[in-house]
Amino acid sequence: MVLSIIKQEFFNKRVSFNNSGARLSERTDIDDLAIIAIESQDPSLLVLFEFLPDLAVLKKNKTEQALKKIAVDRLREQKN
Amino acid sequence: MLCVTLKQYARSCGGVTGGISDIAIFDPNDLNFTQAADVNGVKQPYSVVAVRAGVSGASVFLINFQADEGEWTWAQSVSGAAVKYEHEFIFQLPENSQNLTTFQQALDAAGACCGLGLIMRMNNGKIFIAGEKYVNTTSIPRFTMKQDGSEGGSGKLYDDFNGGNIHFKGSYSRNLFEYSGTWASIEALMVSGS
Repeated sequence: MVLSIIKQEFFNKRVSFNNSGARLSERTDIDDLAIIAIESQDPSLLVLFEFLPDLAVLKKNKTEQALKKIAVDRLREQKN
Repeated sequence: MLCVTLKQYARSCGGVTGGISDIAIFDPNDLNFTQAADVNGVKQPYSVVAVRAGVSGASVFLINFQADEGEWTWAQSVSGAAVKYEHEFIFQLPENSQNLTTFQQALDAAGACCGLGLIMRMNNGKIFIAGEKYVNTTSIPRFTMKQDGSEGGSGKLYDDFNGGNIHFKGSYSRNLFEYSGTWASIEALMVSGS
């Protein structure tokens, strides 16, 4: 689940990070950009967000998503 | 630690591949690099590259150099407490042509005023940045890379090299920082409309 929200005016902006430079409206890893924006305090990234959760909340959510994915992958392996 | 904070150099066990896979150039005024705050006093790699406001069209340009003929070298020197890192990129561009001439003219124009930015992917996958100007929206001390010392020729025999060996040189206060994203994310900046 994505917690942060990009401002509509920046939907078409390309920002390169992780494995993609796709337009922000097409990204599924916006929370990673949110974490980078908060940790760097880069004004050009902070301005992209309509809503920016607390860093602790973002990191907790990221950990939970990763744990869920590990659990699902393990279930798939067991089924196969 | 009484005088200076040192750090260890450790890397995970494994082989290291040499050589350069890809080189791209950019106008240093066009791109902003995001760098997280230092961790325990240690500088972090760049994690985001974004086009700055007002830029239209593609902002990163790939150089199709001859395979296995690209190299980055650096040399550190010190005079008293003044430290210098000299960086040089050398790569081979085949075929003397109008295309090569005008490419070099563009490099010379960049070298005369704004400098050149370089994004290099090594064969081991690591990506390094040289000549950057804007980090976390702020301009950093000038890091000017420019074409300097390029040479070439026609060759004499059928199988002699016909083209140019392009040299980019620049000095700075440190070695190059990595970019932690992938080359795919850099390729997105080569598209017009980024």
